[in-house]
Amino acid sequence: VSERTFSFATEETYLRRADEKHGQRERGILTFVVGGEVHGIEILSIREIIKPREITEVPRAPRFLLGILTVRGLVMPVIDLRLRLRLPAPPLGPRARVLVVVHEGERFGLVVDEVRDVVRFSDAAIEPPPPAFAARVDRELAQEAQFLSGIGRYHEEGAERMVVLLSLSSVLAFEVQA
Amino acid sequence: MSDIPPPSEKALQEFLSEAQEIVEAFNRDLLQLDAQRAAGDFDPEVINDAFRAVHSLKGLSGLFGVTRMTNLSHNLENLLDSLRLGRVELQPATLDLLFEAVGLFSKIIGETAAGNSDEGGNLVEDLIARLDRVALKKETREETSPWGGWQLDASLLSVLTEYEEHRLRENIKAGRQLYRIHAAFDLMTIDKGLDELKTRLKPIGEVITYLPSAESANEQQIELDVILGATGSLMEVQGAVGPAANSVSMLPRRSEARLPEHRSEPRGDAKLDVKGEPRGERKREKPVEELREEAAELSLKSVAQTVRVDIRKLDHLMNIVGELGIARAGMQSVLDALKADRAQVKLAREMHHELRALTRKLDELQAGILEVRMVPLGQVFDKLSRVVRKISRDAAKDIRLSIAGADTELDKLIVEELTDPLMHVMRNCIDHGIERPELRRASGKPDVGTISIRAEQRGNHVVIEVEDDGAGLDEHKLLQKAIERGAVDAEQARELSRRDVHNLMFLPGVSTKDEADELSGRGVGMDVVKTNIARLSGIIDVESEPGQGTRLTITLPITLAIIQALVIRVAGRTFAVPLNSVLESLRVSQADVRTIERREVMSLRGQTLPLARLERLFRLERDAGAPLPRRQFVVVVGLAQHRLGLLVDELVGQQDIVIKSLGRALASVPGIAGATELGGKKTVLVLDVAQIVEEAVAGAEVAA
Repeated sequence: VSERTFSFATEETYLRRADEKHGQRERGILTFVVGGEVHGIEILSIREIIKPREITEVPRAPRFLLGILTVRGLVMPVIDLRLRLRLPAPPLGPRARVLVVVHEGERFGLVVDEVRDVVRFSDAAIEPPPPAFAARVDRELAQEAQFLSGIGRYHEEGAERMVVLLSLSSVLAFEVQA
Repeated sequence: MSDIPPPSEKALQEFLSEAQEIVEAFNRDLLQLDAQRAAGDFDPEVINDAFRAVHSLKGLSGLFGVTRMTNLSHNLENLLDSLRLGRVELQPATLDLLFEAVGLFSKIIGETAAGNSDEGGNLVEDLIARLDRVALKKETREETSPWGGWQLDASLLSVLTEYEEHRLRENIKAGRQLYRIHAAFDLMTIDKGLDELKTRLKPIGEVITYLPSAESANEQQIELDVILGATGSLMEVQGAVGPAANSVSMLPRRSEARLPEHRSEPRGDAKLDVKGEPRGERKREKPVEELREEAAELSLKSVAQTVRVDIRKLDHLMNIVGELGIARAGMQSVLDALKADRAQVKLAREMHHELRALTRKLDELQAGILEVRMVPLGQVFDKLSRVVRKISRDAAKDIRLSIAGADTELDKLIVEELTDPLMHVMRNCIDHGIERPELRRASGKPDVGTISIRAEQRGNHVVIEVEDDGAGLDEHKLLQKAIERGAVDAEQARELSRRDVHNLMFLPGVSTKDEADELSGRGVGMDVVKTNIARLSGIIDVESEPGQGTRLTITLPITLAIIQALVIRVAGRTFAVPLNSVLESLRVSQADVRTIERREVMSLRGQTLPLARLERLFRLERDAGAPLPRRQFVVVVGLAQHRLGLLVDELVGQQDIVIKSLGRALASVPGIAGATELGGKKTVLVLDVAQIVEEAVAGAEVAA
């Protein structure tokens, strides 16, 4: 993981950048790798990024729910994004991180394989999720279609890249049955 | 935790009890007024007392932000002011309104105590509107010169309050003589001196006012002119006054005197009263003014000694204490490392000493914070008694509520959360438990039904019993409903014990009353009660005897904020078991464990103890390589009359923990009450013993 990756992943940077490009509605997206694929979450919902530490498993919870973690005195459920998105989940490598996100006032930890970068999109550059395309062409996309909020395309080092934007409300919409 | 010193002052509680006292005094004044009114002659001083009571209430409630009380007091003050100024005559209807206010005050106090500040707003507004109607019904005052030929100084008249002026008129109207008594008082003892003088004057007349004299020569003294209305002669007055006064003279008569402008603002009484009001002072010369201000300040200070604290702030403090505990545990492990090193023995001893002192102080700090959170259950009970009165009236049943143990203390949060379930229990008792008077008579019971609530502390728990002398539970109907709802099948039903049948009342959708009503609803009552009690880590149990009544027993922990826990390990995982539900723990070998009807049990002091394996309950997998431990431990947990032994691998030790919620997503994981940090960034789950016991008991029923 490069130094650069983490220097971008703060809210301050985002806000400073947002000021620079004032008037132009852009979204900062933190990109990361899950199951070999680049995904993104809006940077505003990310509180911090930590290295994986011992997670306390919670009995009777679904498999993707690895357990709970205490970060700065706050207890939060930790979700293996790879399992949640039904992607392959090999043992975590040294680059694995836990994204601490806030959704509707509650904190969650999301385990990802690797954190990449922050990229910026104007709203116009984000395509809505293409269900027909996904179902026919890309099997993996089809499987995770329910968690998509859109697809962003951007240029990096001359090449066009694609990032799958995740919808936190669907990723975190699960209930543990009594 | 059991040796917590008795609670110190608690701001709100103090305020409420002070308010309650004032309301009671107000009630006494009204009763006295009622009696005097009936006798046809009332003492203006009683109205003044009532006015002062309401005035104090207004000031006090203002300080504590109980707006409804402030508003009501303010409007009562207006009415009482009109009464004492003679603008409004004291009619029975007016007294009724005042008595109604007493009830409303008690209601507000009760609701404030229970943490509800929104209820009853309409009642207050309604009463205020009616009070206003009476207070505004001013009588037209005769415009003829009211002074009856007395020569009254413009300087005197200009400083009279409206009340004093009114009393002056009344005295003149009654044909009394007006006297001026000049008396000097020592600055330090003026309260006492003046009171003594008043007491002496009381039998012969009425003190209309007293004014500081302009001729004061001595700095240590205050000279007052007391204006007295009396029927007796100058000699008699002089005799009554005695040596305290320098001079007594009759006011001169004259026929011309201007009436001062009426001040619209009602004035406070002019008595020098240490408990007096911060408001309502009039302009006077300095010494008295200063004294009065001092007096007002004094009373403000006594109120300001208590503070209101947001419970979240206490939670925050509790969190910090919890984290200090973790830091302390960290230091303990440093100490252990030091101890192992022979070269560091001296250092280790010193650290051991310091650590012990720290631990003690930490315990005190914790106990102190816990203590602040404690409030008496009486707050809820008061509210219940009002509800019972109302519901029983609506249900046309006569009910006596007897309360015991109102001073039993519980964590504020628990007390708050307890109000609704208990309210529901009351409704259930009245609607379903207590029979109609004619039925009661037929079965040889007194017409008046009795509901008794008893609370008492037992160790780290508080037990609340609610008992009625009603019809008891209809076991047949309960069973029938439970079968209808599919909660049990007919075969299971035959094997249920009576107690099990009674406990069916807590199942969703089971109600023994066929027709639904507004209050107890359609059988959504008792299951909600049970859920709410379980949320507080409590347990509810029912016993009933047909024709004789029903008893509900609610067992609750004293606090949820910070608890002592037994840390255990099973299948490689660590859990914390709240110590307040642990009865004992013992070492067992596999040979001690027997199986009866596919359920593991052991015998403990001649009794059969059902066992539960946490790893089975939670479907925990043991590491493939790890052998099953030959010896295990049984942690005996119990709530109410249920006992259960939890089989665990290892007892790690006791620790104080702060329970944290797992968040909405995991709130409904059964058997888990929350999580806590144990130090070393290690998070462990805290078992919900009530739920586990229940699950085990339910499992036993299914297995049986």
